[in-house]
Amino acid sequence: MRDIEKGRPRQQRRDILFAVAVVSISVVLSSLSIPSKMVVTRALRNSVLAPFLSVHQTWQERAGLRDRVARLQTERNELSLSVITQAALAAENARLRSTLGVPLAVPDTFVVVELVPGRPIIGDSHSFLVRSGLDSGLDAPVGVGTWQGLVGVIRSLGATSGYGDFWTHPDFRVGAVVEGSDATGIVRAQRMETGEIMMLLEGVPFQSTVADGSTVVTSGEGGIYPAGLRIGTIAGSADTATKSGWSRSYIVEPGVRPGQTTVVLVWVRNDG
Amino acid sequence: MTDERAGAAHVALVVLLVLAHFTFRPLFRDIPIRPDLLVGGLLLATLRLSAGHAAVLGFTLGLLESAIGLEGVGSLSIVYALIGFLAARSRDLLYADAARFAYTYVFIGTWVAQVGTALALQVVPGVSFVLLALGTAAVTAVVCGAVAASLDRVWAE
Repeated sequence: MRDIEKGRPRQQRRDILFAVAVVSISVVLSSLSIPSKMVVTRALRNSVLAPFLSVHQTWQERAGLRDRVARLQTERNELSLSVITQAALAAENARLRSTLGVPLAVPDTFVVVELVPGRPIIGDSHSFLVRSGLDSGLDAPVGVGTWQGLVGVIRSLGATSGYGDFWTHPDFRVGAVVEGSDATGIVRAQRMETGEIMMLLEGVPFQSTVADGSTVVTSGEGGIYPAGLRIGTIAGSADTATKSGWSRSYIVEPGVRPGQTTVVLVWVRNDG
Repeated sequence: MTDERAGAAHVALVVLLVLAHFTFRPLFRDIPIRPDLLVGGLLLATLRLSAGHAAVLGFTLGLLESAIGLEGVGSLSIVYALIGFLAARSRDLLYADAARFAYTYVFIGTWVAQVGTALALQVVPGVSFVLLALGTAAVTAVVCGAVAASLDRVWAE
């Protein structure tokens, strides 16, 4: 730290040129489309940053091992119960369809992929990477979720990885319906006064009644998300008592929060 | 210590801080007040670099940070490049060959970088954030100053 005056070139014009050049490159980078940004990000993550990411992954796997085992056991028990219930329902459904002469519905298909959430040094990430299992003819944009609910949307897909936004992203929107009601609307992220991010169901027709605790699912409109994927549950009205107009808004407790899952299901659109 | 050895120690210190940042990043990330070793390393590097080279270094570190965090591609590079450039241009105002000036230099630089990074990542810097950023700047100044002093001592022996 001594002798700092030595070896300091004072070529101000060259310095300014360097600075202008790198700031210009940065401006170009920041204005690139998501797929182009992903190319840069992927190249750096697969080269210079690969050793660090490998270390992080090892730590993450070891640190959360006990919690993950406990969570997996809980999930397995819940899924077992669900499968038992669903099996009886499926049999009854098949019998009724057969009686009525209606063909069996084709269930949605999903691909299991690994999700790597973004971790900016300040604030929360609204973005994620997905890896593996992407060789199944997927097209972006496409919704991703877990059995617990909607996670987000993949915006761009490469050969081995994809880049997407969590539902907390400011640009995220999804068409929704409330189960057991005729209420429909659009769901987006909403930061509450406490700082917590919840979902907001907007544009629900004024005459529709929605009870607290009702389940909100995707409507399937637009073909990005499968119909019937759970989004969350109604936590209360977002309108004031004197609200009037054509529509209502509701706060929705999300089914899945970013960071809660590292494995997601990507919907495979049945274009046929 | 000769100038060459001082220069080598300086480069070693900067490399050490940057490597430590990227290696221990997940451990530091969830701590509200933590040392920002990346900015600390960049600021210490600017003490010996020309403003142009400091801007290039800042750009590179910003690009790596945005790639590892998956947020702020381009915008973080702008912030870090400007921090590097401005720090190298303003070091004569804030820095002298004494430890306490190094602490002040890193403290002010880190605080500015924290606010700049928040803006680049579109995080609204409220009062609590500004206070946390002051804490982060203080911790960064202490850690980087202490590491710099110990490295100086090791190389001097």
